[in-house]
Amino acid sequence: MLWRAITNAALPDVTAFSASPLYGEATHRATALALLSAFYLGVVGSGDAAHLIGYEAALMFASTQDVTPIPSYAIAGPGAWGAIDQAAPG
Amino acid sequence: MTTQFDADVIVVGSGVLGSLTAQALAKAGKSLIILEAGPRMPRWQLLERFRNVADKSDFNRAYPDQPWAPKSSGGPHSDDYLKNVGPLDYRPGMLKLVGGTTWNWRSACWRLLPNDMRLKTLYGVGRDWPIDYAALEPWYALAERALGVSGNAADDQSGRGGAAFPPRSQDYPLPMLPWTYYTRTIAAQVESAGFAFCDEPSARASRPYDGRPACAGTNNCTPICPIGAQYSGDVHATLAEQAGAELRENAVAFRLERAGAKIVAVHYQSPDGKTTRLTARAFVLAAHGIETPKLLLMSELANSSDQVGRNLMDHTGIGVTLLAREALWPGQGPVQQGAMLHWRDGEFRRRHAAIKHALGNAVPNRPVAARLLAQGVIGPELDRRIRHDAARTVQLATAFEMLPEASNRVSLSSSKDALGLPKPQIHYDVNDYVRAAAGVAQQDHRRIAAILQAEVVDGDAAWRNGDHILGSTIMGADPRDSVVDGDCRTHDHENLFLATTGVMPAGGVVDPTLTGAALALRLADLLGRSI
Amino acid sequence: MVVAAAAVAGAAAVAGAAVGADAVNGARAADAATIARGRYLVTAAHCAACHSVDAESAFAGGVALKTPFGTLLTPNITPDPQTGIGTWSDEQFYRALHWGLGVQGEHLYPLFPYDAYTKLRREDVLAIKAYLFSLPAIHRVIPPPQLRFPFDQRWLLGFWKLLNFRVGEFQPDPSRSADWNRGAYLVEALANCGACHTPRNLTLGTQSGAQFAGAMVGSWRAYNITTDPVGGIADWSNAELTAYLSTGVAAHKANAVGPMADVVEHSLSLLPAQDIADIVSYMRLVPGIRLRTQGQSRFSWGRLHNPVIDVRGNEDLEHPTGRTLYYGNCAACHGGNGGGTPDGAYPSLVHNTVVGASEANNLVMTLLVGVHRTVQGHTVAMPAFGAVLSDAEIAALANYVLNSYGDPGIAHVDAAIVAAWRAEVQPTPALITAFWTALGAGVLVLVGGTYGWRRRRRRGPGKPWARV
Repeated sequence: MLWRAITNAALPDVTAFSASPLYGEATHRATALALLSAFYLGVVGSGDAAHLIGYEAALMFASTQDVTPIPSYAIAGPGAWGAIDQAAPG
Repeated sequence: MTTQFDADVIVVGSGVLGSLTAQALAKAGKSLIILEAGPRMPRWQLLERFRNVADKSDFNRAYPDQPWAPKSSGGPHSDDYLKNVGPLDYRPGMLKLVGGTTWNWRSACWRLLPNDMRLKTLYGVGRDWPIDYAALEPWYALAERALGVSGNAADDQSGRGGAAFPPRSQDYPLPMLPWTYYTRTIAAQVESAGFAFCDEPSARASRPYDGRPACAGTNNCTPICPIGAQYSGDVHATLAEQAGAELRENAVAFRLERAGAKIVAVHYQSPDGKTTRLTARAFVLAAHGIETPKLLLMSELANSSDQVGRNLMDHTGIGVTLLAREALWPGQGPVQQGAMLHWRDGEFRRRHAAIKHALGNAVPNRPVAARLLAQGVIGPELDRRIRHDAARTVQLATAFEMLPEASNRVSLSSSKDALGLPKPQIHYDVNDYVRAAAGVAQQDHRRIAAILQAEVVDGDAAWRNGDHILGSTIMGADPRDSVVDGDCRTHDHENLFLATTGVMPAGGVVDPTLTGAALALRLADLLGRSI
Repeated sequence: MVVAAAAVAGAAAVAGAAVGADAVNGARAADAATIARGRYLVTAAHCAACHSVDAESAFAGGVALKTPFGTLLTPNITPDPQTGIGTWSDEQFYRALHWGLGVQGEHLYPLFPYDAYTKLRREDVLAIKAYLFSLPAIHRVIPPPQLRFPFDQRWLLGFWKLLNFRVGEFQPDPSRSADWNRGAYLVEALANCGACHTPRNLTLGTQSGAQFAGAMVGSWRAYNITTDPVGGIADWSNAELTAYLSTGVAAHKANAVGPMADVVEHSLSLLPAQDIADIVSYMRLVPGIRLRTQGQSRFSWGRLHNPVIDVRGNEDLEHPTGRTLYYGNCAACHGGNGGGTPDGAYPSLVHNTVVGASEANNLVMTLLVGVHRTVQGHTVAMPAFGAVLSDAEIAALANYVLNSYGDPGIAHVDAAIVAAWRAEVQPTPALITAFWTALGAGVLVLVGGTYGWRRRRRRGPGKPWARV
């Protein structure tokens, strides 16, 4: 339903979608957020019903990989963080 | 040698304190059996379990959830194990596997201050320790060596910005880990406002140590260090076995048997229901601060004082998450590096609890992304905002010192676990001593937010567990109001010792594991010379 | 004689052949210079590798050298008079290094590589002795070697020497540069790279036509370091070679492990930069040899790829594949994609000379025992996985790494191979044993037969042989 609505409204990308009235509609919004949540957090569902769909590939880490690690993976040698003396643009 | 006993000493629990005790006794030539309720798991498997776990909000979920070895949370067998009947949900981290709970910790290794051990005498509250800092100091040095603690011996860890304190006979075995940009920047800013910021000594190898690699900054100390740079109890479980101790996993001790005042045997149950009886000259309970009193209560032992399970304490606390104006980038290096200690000691302790603000350094992307999604942010804007907010997230975890109260206690629930043993029942609340400190702490939070030009994004004042179990088998000089003496020997049974932070009558406001380790090494030395 | 030799060695410090107080002071100064020279030579030759169990008992021997014929404990070369070499004269010391002869005139086992040390100049040999004699005497009894028959017959070593040993001090080659000649002395007489890197012949001497073409050191492989572009190191730059020898790391290419890490840490990294440059000059001119079929150089294999999408949430942790073991044990540092960290502190497994080698020995051994290498105060360490993983798990993990980041076409390993390498099992050298037994028996028959023939001649014709 969401897909048809987007196609009909000829929305070119997510930014346009988020600005459009479609995004204000509760069901469309909920569906969109559920999908994005799954990709960004790597999980569908919650609590005991939670199901992992990804961890390293979860999009929540994508925008910061140049600065901070995905937890449990090294990005530089031992103690290398001590030599960083300025903040990367954030 | 006669085979009159199954072992010279039986240790219940293979966590850091039990394994340190066992290894020291084995090296002293004693025969040992260690009983561990949980299974034996290799690090790689725990790491992959963590990466595979869906609900990462509870780090315990990475660990096996066995019906005979329930944890404090994180699975159907564990979530309903601790039966809280009081106002607060007391749920400190507890794992059951070879190596114990220190598989999942932040490895903070503070010493107590001399004044922490004289709370009653100096400030008229709480209880004094029956031993003083000087008696414990040499064992602190040995414990730091055993765990491979990195720290700065020149620091004033009392938070007064003065000369090195507390007194030390030896330097740290490892230099402190370098501070990240985030830690350096915040430390400088809060210091200028009079909040003494101090490096947190930790059992993280800052260079290769005892076969452990140096910290690689994977920012995963909790739930599990991927490479073993951070100490975990399995290190000494393995060393104890190499020194000749026998370790039996999946062995749930459920009763100590006595003849007269001497403990003669321990009974344990295996997952298949089979029970085994083992005899020894002496017994050490190192089953963590909840299971140790539970075992004593089930066995109806060591309780002439009626203090077993009582005086339960934690470093209950509050937290706050800020969004600073400038990008600071938490998440480089280990998950925690330092704390503000200006409320660690002083006359104020007559009126309110000591306070420690720990600066969290965990990668914040998950809660940041979840919050933004809940606000409906999507598209490229979501990525931009995740980066923007992750760079500016500042986490403070504030801990308070508790006072021992008889009504805060572990007892036996009528509810039974899968083995038919009573679950632990807990009644726990904070008192005005702590509530007064919370008000002070929240003022500090506002001050810090102002210094960092930060807004508060999560400032709920809900009480949080500190994962530090103290007091539940309290130490004291008087057998009428304490369970163990200054050597961790139970007053009632001369061959029964307790190696647990549950013996601590006062914990200051710092993580107790190093103190527990010092006590364990000290009791092992005494026990080793007396049998 | 010592003073004269020291004076030659310590030319810069000696104030001439004056007598009296000047001569005594000159001798003392020369001794200090000689001892310093000896210390340098001992570092270059890495005597400690065999003669020091640990730093506390330096040069007191007792290191166990496993051979296919039994284990030999290295002798105590501290100046202890009872258990070390404290009673040895200069001449006896020189004979040991130059001729391979002990104080009783017995042949020394060529595990002590006098086939290299014969090339040392006499003054250098005596400088080494002066240095050893300046060290504390350590009383440590070393039991004599326990080798199987016929290898316990030292006189057979005379034949070994006949076949494999050319006595003689190093003679500079006037057609080569000074750098090359200094490098030759370092490589052939001191560092003795050929002891590990040159394959052995049937009599366990080094193969003269295959210098530096690669050989086994216990379970480790000392790689081909000739100038062959595929099999050897011709395609390494001078900067890479220099960095590797002096620090143990050629960035994004090679990392010294096992016995070579030990050589870098305790010997090569302590030599002056000119020495390393001279060694490189020399190695650049050795003939290129490729003994094994090898299509690509060791550092050209592999590509970055991260199959974590297939892995995450899909693993059977009770029955782990090599891939699962990789993620659990290796990926935290070496990356899910095998690329290590950008700064190279945790090396890439792609284009990695150990991972891409044509035999899996060093990969498996590194997994088993880890890496620990301290150079200029900085320690590089990789944990040992031998205690936490079974032989089958190590094998599965190694095969995954080979398939993903190395040469997928080389022989894979299994639990039995890992177990054998773990135990440093020496292969039973049936052929070699047979050779030496036959040689020994042949000599005895020859000697016995000659004696009998002479006896028969003396007794005259017609006398029957005595029946035995």
